[in-house]
Amino acid sequence: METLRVMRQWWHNRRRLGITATPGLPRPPMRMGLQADRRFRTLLGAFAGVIVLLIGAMVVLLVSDSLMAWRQFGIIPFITGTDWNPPFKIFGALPYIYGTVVTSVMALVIATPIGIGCAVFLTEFAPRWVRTPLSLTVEMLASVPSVVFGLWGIFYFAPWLRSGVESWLTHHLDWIPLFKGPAFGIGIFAAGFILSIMIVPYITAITREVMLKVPAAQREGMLALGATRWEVVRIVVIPFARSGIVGGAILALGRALGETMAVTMLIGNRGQIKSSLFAQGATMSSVLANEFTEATFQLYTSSLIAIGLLLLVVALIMNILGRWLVSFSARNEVTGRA
Amino acid sequence: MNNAMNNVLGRRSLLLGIAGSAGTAILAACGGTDTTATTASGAAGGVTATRAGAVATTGGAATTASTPATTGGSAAAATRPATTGSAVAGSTTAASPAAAGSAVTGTSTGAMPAAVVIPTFGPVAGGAQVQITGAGSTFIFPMVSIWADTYNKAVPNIKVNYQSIGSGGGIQQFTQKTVDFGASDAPMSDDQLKAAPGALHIPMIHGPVVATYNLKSLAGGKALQFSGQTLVDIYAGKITKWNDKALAADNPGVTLPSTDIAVVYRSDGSGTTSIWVDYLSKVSPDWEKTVGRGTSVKFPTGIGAKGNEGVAGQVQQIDGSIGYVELAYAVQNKLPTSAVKNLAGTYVTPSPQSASAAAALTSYPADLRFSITQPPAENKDAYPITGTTWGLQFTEMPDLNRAQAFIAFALYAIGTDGDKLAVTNNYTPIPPALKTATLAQLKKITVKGEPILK
Repeated sequence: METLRVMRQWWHNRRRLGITATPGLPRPPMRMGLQADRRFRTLLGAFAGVIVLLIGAMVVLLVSDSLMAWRQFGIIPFITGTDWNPPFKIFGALPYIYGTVVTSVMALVIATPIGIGCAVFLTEFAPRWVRTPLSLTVEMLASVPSVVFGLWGIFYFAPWLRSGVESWLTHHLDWIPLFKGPAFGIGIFAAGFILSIMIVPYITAITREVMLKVPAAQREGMLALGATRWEVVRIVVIPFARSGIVGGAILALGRALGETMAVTMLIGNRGQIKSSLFAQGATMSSVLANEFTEATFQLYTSSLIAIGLLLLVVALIMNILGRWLVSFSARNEVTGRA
Repeated sequence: MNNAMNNVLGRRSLLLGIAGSAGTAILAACGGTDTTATTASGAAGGVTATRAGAVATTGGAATTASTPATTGGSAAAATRPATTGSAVAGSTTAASPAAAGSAVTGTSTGAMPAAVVIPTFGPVAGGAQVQITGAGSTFIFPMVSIWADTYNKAVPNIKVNYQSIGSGGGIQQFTQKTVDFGASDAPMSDDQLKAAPGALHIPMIHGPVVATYNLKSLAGGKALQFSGQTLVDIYAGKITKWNDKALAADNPGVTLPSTDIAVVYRSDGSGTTSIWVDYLSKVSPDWEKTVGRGTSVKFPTGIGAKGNEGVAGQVQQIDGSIGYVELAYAVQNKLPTSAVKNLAGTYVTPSPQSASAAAALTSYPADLRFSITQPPAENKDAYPITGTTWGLQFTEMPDLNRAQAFIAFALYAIGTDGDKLAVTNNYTPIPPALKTATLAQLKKITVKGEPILK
């Protein structure tokens, strides 16, 4: 860096110094470099601007195209309306909001411990020869197309749930409203479960990255004090990685909220709110995927676009919440713990 | 582009071969520049070539502007489509357009297919490449692809692209004129027609929707049959067990188990659902009032599965389930299909033949927006849950080449070759009675006020 600066200075002053020819010395990449820098900056700025423009354009379109639905039903009644009945031109979004939130939360509840456990195993316990193949496998899970998850869900997972888990639960725990039958395998439970499998790799990958950043000195210090491996994980690794874990979970939640294909194939697609997890449901993205192509009149299309806008808003709220959680846990780390 | 079009217009020569009983080809040939063409086609309206086998020869008063080579070329180009299947013997009267505006009277149900002769149409002479784009119904998509492929092999200069974006989307794109034609499983509503003045409904194909089920204890036995009311009650959640009295009455001699019925429906908006609930609405006024018609309705009970494959997948997995899919899909996947009782009181098994019988109404509304679910009792062999896919086109088309290409393709699709392809692919061709009316629709298409097909 320093050399370059000196070279530039020299080149700049060469006329004044009376130097016209510089045998043996190459021209420093000054002018060219500066110009390229400027162009590069403009280009990068344009890229960033395009993203902002795109999101802006999306929001504008979603708002303008859903106006009809908001006007017809009102904002609050549309959000809290429980009836979605195209032939009678009645549209209410609550069953879909409910389905989205319940499946996503369920997925998060199942996937977070598994994802963290997997990351802890990978960073702290797994022998070296297991580490690489296992983490590759976990990452590969993230790249499996969701329609493949859906197909697997329909043909193997749902029948297995129906004859195994669900039939046991409905048989023994049907006094809990959550586990009330009849259980067909297809429903909110199956959708939440498949979502949890889909988001585990996100949680694992991010948690693992953060856990690898735990200073070796801290780990070794704990071990030197006679701590067991479990204690190292509990006292040093997990608190250090907390913000990363929360961040990973939020990213995973974002993915779960918007996931469409696998959920559509497994949730049973009934816009209803039932206390049982085995009941069929529908999510905001699944109703869009199902009904958009054949929405035959304008209010119908407009209501579907309004659902799209709501989905965007819900995702935004979750994102903000997540960021706040990350910064909160990061602050706690510095002041409270260390 | 412009250049090429001028070129085509300059050497344009239309061939219209309505083959008569004596193998007479009526040729309307015209040429010259575009301006003279419109007048010439009126003047040279009927140059007749009496040659057995209906081989086209071309000529015309207005071809002076074009060189002999052009005339030769267009004749060659025109001959090919004319010989591909038009020379079916039949009465010329059947091909005459019925009076527009009033109800179109079709021939009786039992009429032979040869009663209506679908002419072929030499579209764009001189071999100009024409590409037309359509969009809409997913149901007709496999059929249109097959038609387009085979037609393109016979007439290489016409290419048909079809995007299966769904009937709703098809109507929208058609209304906005972003595609050359639309296709829909449901006729356009009055509101939609208001937005698209001059829209024509052109019936292209029929498709039965069948009830399929999975009842393990009955596996291998005789297929179950249903009456309309039973289907309504099952889908309304009123009949919940397979050994219900209504089901027993529909299936005398069959011992039905007490298994719970699991209802499966299409979750994605689809023409299949539209046909299914249209039928249920016709059977039961109560259903019409509470659930209604549409591509996607709020079913009182059941599990929603995406696509034919989703419904079939659920039905195959859940013991005691019932669902509805298109016949073609059920046949390809060897699903059990049930007979349904029609208004004549017969339980009819779904097939291209019984669906065709349902479509053979004695009269059709003038705009051909009809529904053939639950056909009148006089259609004794009719399977009552059958739908129609319409091609959508405007009476006035902006581009001559595309108009000709569309008409040529439509004629091919509803002609003998198209019918054969339909049957081999488990689709139901439109019945002879309807072909007359369909032909009359196609004849309404004009470019600059000038009809293309006469």
